[in-house]
Amino acid sequence: MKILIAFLLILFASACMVIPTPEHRIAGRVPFDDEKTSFMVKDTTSKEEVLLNLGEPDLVLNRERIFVYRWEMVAAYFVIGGYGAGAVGPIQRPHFLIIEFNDKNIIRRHEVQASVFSSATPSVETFKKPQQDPSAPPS
Amino acid sequence: MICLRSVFLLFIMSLSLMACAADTLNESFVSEPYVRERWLSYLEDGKTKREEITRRLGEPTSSFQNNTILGYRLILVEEGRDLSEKEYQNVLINVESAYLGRYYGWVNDRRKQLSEKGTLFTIREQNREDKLLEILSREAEYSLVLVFDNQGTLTTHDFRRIMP
Repeated sequence: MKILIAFLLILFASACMVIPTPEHRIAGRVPFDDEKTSFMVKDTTSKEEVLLNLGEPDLVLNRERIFVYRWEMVAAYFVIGGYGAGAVGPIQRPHFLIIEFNDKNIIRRHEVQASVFSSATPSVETFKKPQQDPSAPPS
Repeated sequence: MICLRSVFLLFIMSLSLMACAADTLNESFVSEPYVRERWLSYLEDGKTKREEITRRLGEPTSSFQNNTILGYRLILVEEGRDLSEKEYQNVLINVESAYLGRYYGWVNDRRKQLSEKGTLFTIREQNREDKLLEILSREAEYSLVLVFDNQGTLTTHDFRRIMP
């Protein structure tokens, strides 16, 4: 019985809390905010300009067709309180700047993806244009 | 009520004391201008040849557009020897406690030492595993992008600190 009471005490005396905060960086790669990426213009900006403005990419895919830059921002803090112990830590939100080039090394598309639930780099497939239905009449 | 006020005052005073004790992080030894001048002063647009750069920095991390653009991922580390597991753990513990405690004395000392005896090490796919401890305990990380003309002469370049 005493053990059960102790167990219940521990169970109900512990808690977990998530405190959302404005996104901020505490470590890791310098983020690419709007100011840093404003030079990029679709169908105009070259791969050379991208490299000279953003630096070496974290990932190069599809024979230099796709560049990926990754950085992390803190989106919230978790607080775990136990019986006589506790812990606090940041919840990181990975961001991916994905840039796609055409065969002339000019930007075709670029976008930022972010998710607090995934730390993996998005697959190339997620960035590809949706395939057009070949049976659909040309617009 | 008085007791509560005293506790609050004591709390504010202790916070102020902590603020006084906090050292400031010295960024000068890891800043882009300093690192450029210290280790990359030979880079000159219109003059420096590709051979000289690869002789000094080794093979690049990546290359683009038929090798006309080279990318170097450089980390600032201790020169000349591999880091032991114990040294790596020591670095991690000291860095973590410095950032948590907001007292950067140890980090500033390390940065000063690296400015005197450190080196810029090029990370490549081939050495990532061998140099994992150095990569994880790096004091700073930089990106160097170099654009060459048809004769292999540097036309333009960009050097930037990307981490931390």
